[in-house]
Amino acid sequence: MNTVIQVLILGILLGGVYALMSSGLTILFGVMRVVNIAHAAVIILAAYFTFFIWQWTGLDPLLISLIAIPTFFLFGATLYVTLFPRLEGSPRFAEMTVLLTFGLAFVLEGLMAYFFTGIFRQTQPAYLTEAFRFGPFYVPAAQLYALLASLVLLIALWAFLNFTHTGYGIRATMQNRTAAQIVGVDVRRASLISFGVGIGLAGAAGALFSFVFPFFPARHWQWIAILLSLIVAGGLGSLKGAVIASVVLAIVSAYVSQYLGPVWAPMVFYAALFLILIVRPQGLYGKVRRI
Amino acid sequence: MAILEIQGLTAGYGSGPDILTGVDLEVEEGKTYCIIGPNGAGKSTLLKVVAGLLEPRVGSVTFNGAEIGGKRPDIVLSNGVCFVPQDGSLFPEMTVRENLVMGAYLTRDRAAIAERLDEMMDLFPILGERSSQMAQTLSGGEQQQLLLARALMIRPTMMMIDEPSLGLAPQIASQIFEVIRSLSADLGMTLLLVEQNVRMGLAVSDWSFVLDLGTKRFEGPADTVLDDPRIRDLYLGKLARAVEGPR
Repeated sequence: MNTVIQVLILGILLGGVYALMSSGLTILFGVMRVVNIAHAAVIILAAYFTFFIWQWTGLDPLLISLIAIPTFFLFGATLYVTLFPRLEGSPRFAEMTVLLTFGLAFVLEGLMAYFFTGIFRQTQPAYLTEAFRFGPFYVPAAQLYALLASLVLLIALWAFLNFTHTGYGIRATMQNRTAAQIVGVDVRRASLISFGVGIGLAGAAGALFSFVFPFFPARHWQWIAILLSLIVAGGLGSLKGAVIASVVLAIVSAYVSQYLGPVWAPMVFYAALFLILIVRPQGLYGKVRRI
Repeated sequence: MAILEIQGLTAGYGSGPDILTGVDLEVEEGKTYCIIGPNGAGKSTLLKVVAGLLEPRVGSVTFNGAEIGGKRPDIVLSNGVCFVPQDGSLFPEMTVRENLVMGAYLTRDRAAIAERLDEMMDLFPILGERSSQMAQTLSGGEQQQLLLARALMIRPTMMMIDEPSLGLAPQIASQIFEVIRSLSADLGMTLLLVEQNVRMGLAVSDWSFVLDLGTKRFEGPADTVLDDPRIRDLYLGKLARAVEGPR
């Protein structure tokens, strides 16, 4: 019984980080219909950003995440202004963004491999090997801090979307782009800010990722497959769906890893994806779109 | 004095054919206009161009003397022109209250927004009862009321309403048209309607424009336009006259 509860604790801890990683991706799709295949590559880039700042300054990765958010917000806004206006108005916008961001993922991977080499990296703050004990259970400190940081950022994102004027505009654009235009939302500005926020979240996620998982440039392909599974299972464009799917599937994968072996854990995400596409194609909280 | 002037307007979607061709029309302040015509006439497209959702290919759209043709929808709205599209343009996962607040998105004055919310709850009592419900849970008639109320939150000079009776039971549609009538009679608002239920639309209007295949065929007073034989041709085709024989 203790093992069951211990695995549950570890699953929840990982689920929080997955939720932060997938939240940016689902916002990009929800607001702009951009399927960002390069999202995990940006997370890995942010992990390198964190790694080198940590190595040079010794600053805690949790603090570096506060630097990563505005830095990657600006990176995202620049990417948006540079790459996406040309595609707007295309009847195949969503498909074009898949190709564009697929190419972007290769470019980022190539640049990272060139400058940072392909060896495994991981930031190693002092608490990486520490754990809190609660009776028979232990909670790894690094994963607990990553979960708490993810929760803080997700709550901040929720507050931004629900209590600010710009957040209202972004939510409106996510739910009904034409209606948002009709009530006066400048949807291009909303898209620019959303892209910045989505990539900024990837930046923060990368900072946490840097000490939770070892990484190298090509690692993003494995992660983008998992992240896409999470946001499709949650319902494309649904922040709530992405968070719930992340936590639930992280817990299930932790059990699979414990009882069937770690090699089977990634299968949970793909199996869930197949299952949900058969049973509920719009995902947990997705909308059925009228044609 | 015309508040809205459309001259030589040609428009279409993407790289497709022209839906509107050389449309001219003028709208005077404080009056209600109904645009009628068979399916595919370009009625809704005309409203979308004025609202800024579609760029004109040729021609001009001026409102209060300012060119609004091709301007962004938020700029058109800030000029006082509000568009109430057909169903499906609410924010389904926002509450009724949040939908109304979104109607005043261009207004930053919180006190003014609170005051207008109260006004809308008085004008549409059912929305007051449902204020914390998600918009997607409302009935068709309630959603239509919410669309109208949301548009009124910005206190527009002119409202364009596309198919307000679409999908509604006759009794609910009558209630909606009563509200539309009061917008003109009590608030003096300029209204431009598109309505398939021609009799209902004309009953609340002062003037009518008749569109067919993207061009304006003719216009006239709303209370006499139905007597025009050209209307029978448009809606029933020449076959109807052939069956009836010469009068």
